[in-house]
Amino acid sequence: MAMTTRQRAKLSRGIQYAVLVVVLIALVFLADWNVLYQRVFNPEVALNQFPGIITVALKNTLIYTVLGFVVGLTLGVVLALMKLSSVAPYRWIATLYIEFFRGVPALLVFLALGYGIPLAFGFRFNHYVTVMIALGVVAAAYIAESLRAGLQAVPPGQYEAARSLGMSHTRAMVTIVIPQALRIVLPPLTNEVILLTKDSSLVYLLGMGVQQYELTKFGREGISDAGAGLTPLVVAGICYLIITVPLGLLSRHFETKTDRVKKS
Amino acid sequence: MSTSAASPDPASSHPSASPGADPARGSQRDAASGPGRSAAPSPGASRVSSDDAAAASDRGRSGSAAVHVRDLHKSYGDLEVLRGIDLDVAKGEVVCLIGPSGSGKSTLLRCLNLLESPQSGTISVGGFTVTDPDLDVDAMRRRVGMVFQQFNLFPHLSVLENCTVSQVKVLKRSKDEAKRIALANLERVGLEAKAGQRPTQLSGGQQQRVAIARALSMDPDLMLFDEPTSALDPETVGDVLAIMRQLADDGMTMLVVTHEMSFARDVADRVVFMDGGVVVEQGPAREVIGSPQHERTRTFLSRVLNPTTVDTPE
Ligand SMILES: Nc1ncnc2c1ncn2[C@@H]1O[C@H](COP(=O)(O)OP(=O)(O)O)[C@@H](O)[C@H]1O
Ligand SMILES: [Mg+2]
Repeated sequence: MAMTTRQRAKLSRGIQYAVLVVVLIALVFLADWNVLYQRVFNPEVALNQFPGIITVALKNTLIYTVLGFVVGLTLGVVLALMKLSSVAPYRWIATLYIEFFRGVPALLVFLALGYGIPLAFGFRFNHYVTVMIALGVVAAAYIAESLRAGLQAVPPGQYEAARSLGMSHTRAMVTIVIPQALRIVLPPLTNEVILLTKDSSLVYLLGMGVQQYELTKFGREGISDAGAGLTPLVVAGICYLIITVPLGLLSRHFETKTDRVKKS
Repeated sequence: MSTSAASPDPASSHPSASPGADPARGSQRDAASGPGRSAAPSPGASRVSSDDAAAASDRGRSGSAAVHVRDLHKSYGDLEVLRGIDLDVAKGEVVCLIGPSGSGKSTLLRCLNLLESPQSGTISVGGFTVTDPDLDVDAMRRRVGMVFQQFNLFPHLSVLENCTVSQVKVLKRSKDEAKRIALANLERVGLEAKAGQRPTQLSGGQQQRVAIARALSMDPDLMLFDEPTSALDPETVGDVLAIMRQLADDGMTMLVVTHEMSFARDVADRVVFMDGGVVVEQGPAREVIGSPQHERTRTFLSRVLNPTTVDTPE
């Protein structure tokens, strides 16, 4: 019995829906909803997280993210320009830096800075300075690669046309090439902010006071309270999503926009 | 590097050479060549330098040299692309550069404004010794307009901004003055109505006309065109060629790489045929195209003029 292509597609779709329904039914009947309600999302416990989770934890997560991004972008621009430099040693240094920090877990960098600096120098930087360095040095490696790709994606004819009109190298880069490169790197840069938001959870490794808690640390402290269950972590997770989901949508928006420019 | 408009070249007031003032080369240009040079005359539209005068007297003629190239060599690695080029373009002259693909035409043009740096030889362009290591490159490029095959308009700027950006940033003109000059040049190419649009909203032919207006807005003494119509749909080629013909009639000095033989025949004072990195033959347009002296020129021309009958499919 031969099926037409359309019949086969219909059957396949039917099977996929059936699997989904079976899984959902299993979840509904097998999970202990009462326990889940008590332990994982207890509205009373959730309410107890406020206002601290906003005024301290969310605020600090945002501060750490912004600090990391500022350092990452600044250092990233320098590294990207070094990587495109005509001076070979600059290229080597940039490549080494980028490959190292992309290839090593961020956790390791935080541990090294948190324990290494006091051991090596016998003193601690200010908490926020350490956070800036730790988040920034890792982000810079990723940002540098995005920027380099963006600068190289601008057709060389743009630079040549600018120079032919009498613009200096710097003027041509600033007025013609970099604005176009920025448009190209906007989606990956937005993604980098999302990664930084999540990586800011590693700040606990540096050690900190209560007023410096960010979302993850705040949630972890919450679950150590007797009877709190996992609810504080769930609330922290939702707070992350409140930051990252809009950023993801923004990134997608930039992507479709640059696509349109490219197509026309 | 400085972006200041303070250029080392003193600006004199008026265009000196009358259009087509080059009888020695047997100019074919109409005697009725246009009167005005530019829709937007401005200080620095033309200069007479001692180099010009020297070059002119050197060749025993009254016209002065806009381009003077001697024994130019350029290699990419082992590939020698230009193998001793001599080329002269007088002020007000229109020269078409023809030759098969890969013969080094683009490379020659790009050496003239130092987008490529040659290995040896001398180039002077409008009084600037291009091959002098101490040359103020940006000052030289301000005097030389370049039009590319791929237009290279700035996609993040409007049509008007494309024509004003370097006037403001390089020549330090006021925004108002830059806008006035840009609009005059856009009108010259018939596109003042598109001033507010993005380049990507225009057809290829329109984009190339904007590119011409952009170059003209800097009041160049010399315009270089690298196959300006090769990337265009056939129906828009005519508009661009018409603008270029008008520009020639207005007395602009032009060096044009093109495969448009009818344009070369009708508009150029002189045609230069290049092959394999050397100038094979040059002379008055009608003579080179009508009765070429060299076998290589004949072969090339018959291919270009009768592509369907002569060319064997590749
Ligand atoms: N940047 C470059 N690097 C290496 N080879 C090049 C480069 N530009 C041009 N060439 C080579 O130089 C030769 C002449 O090129 P070009 O000047 O563009 O010729 P034309 O414009 O007459 O077609 C070609 O063989 C081309 O492959
Ligand atoms: Mg070419």
